[in-house]
Amino acid sequence: MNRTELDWVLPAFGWRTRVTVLGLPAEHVALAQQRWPTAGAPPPFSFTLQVSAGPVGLERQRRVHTVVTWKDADTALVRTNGAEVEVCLASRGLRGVGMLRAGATIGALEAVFRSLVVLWLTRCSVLVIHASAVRRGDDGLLFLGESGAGKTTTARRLGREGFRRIADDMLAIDLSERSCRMIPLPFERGLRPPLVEAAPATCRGAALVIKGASALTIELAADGAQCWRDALITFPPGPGRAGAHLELFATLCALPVARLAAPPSGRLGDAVAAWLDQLLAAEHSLDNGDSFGNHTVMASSEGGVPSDHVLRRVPNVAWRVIDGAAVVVAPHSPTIQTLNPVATRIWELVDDLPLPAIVDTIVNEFDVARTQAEHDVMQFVSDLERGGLLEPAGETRP
Amino acid sequence: MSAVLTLRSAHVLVSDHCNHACAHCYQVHGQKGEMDLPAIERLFDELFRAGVLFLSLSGGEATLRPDLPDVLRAARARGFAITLMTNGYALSDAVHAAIVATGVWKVRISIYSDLAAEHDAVTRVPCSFDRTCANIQRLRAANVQVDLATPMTSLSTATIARLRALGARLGCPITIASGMTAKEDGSLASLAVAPTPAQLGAFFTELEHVTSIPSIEEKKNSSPCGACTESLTIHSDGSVRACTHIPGFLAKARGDVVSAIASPSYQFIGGIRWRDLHGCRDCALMAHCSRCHGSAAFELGDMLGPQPSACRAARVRYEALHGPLELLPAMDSAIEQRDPTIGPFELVATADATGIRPIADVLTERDHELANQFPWVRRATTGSPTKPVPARRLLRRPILTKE
Repeated sequence: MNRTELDWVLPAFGWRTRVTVLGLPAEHVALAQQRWPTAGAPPPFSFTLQVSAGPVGLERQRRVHTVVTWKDADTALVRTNGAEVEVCLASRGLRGVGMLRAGATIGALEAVFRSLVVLWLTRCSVLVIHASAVRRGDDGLLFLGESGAGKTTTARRLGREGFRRIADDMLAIDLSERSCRMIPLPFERGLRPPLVEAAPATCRGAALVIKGASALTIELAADGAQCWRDALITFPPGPGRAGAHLELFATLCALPVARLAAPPSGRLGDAVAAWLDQLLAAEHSLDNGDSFGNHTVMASSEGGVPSDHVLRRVPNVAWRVIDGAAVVVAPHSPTIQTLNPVATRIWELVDDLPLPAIVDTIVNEFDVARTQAEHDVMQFVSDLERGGLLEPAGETRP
Repeated sequence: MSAVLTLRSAHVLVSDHCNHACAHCYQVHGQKGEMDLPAIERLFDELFRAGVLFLSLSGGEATLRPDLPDVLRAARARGFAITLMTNGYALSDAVHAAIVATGVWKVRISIYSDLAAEHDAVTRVPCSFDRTCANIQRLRAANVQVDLATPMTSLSTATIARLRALGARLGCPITIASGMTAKEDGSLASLAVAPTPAQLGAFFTELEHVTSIPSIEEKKNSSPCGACTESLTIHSDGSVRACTHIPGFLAKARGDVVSAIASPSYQFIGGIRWRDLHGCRDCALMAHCSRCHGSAAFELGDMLGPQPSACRAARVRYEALHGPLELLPAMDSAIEQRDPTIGPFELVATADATGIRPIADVLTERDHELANQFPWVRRATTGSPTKPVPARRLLRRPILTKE
């Protein structure tokens, strides 16, 4: 049985794992070694894959499809196109064993590589987004949308109009230090060599691409969270990590999302540049510690929260407080949300109580400064409103 | 055992009759009667006071209740996260509108194959597949969450991949289950369509083979099922029980949730561990076994003893993971009288192969004490099949009110 050594590498994150593939068909060895060459001494993390005689993993599909089941907080069972592996996640890499389907091609290895990268990056507060991306200097923009919506085309057009294209289909957003660094990934569509970024751009916003428009428009999107949700490439979080996962997503949702209706021809660069200038001028960046949503105005320069902003729980949401934590179940969502004690208290108070009064209660009942309480309350209720769990009091839903 | 005086979930069977006659169904319809709406509302109040958040509604077939929309509204008014379990065959406009308006969290629909003919062969209702799929799509178009449930039967040729593809086409997650139980009157007729060893082998290989197998000690200290762990089942006549299968009533009065969760029976059932199951606790296949107390009671008359269909499935699961097992003869003439496919077993390794040999099912003093304290854990099995009542001939019993 032949033995093939490969290195899976994410240079931007200092991540390298030595992969040993047993039984890879001879006709695929050279291509695999070209795709993932080894370099230097074996790293401390290693992975072994063996080609199996029987059916393994999910059916081969055009797109990578992955199912993740967690055994414990750090160990996951991953099934993807033509492969299944058991992987243990560590801080600088991963280790594990797995099986590849008989007659395995580069595609199965690619599927495993991508799946494990997404898994590990999420652990490091880095989210993988299905998007194209451009940068102008240190500032970057993402383009979201379904396959065929025109993300890649938009990025390429802007690449010819003063922007630099940094991703066509997929990239990573590093949210670990409250600045959204955009980092290309080494597995764009096809097997093109990875792009190298000397200094990652900071993401200033995203646009949902709407192709086929007759006129160019860029307008704030009303469904920003939904756009991010649709673009996110992620897996169910491991045990005890749902809260961190949700916080990560909430951080992502703080980035502004616009709807970019682009005609098939004509210049895009000027309008997109102007939009980027507006984003920068608004000084709504995570670096400043402010976060904002697409609907609500956060703490203004005068301080405080809007006194007339009254929200209420959406009528069909089911919830109970169990052992001090609110368990919230929303229709149309398979997710059961469990809130921490402060969030539970806010949830209990939010029905028909003005936000300033909620802030007063939180300040009185918990050891927290007023400015922090204002920020946290606004952030939380904004997230819940975007998630369809809260609505403005007095609004009647159909 | 610690007392659990709060509930988190409840399953209420609101209907005692059905418009399908599924070959594998454990229920015997038209025997119990149904609670009227006021009784259901009082029950919901009790469940709310007990702390229930997750409420499942089923039957029989729940959609046959003309007042199901009122039942859903009553559940919504008490703030439950509602799961409606249905065959999806007869969703009237009123029921559909009520599902949407009350924000039912999930609708769980049973589907038996990706082929219409096979699904219809299970339900014994022509065109049931097409109507169910149409209703699934109608619910999905209204943004209602629909989960598909597929119990494996020998009447279906659908592979795991085909069933997943069906789920993908309908836009619904699909859960495939391998277990099947005897009928609630003790008849084994439903087991006639139990999945074949080949189907079980494929199930364990494709869906569960990477699941870690616990050690024997870990398994002994674990619970075989979740009955009476902050959950209850209320049957259509208001009787309060541990689940749909475990015999024995938890309360004397119908709908008396408070007495049920404070009863010794509730605590006993919730505290059962594998080490409490005679025969099973000594079995070498225990770590690979998944069983149902109620089914054990139906199949062999002892809720705390071996469950023959589970013994057979455990062997298939072991073989899927580790290779063939030879069935060896018992060493004791008394044990030889037992069906050789029923445990407990010991593992015997030879130079050429691994086999299992039946061993004695040893009952201790404590086993007999439990049977004396809770007589319903052992029941006489009839062994004779109950002739299924065609759906069209089912008569509705007079509606009962709470005593």
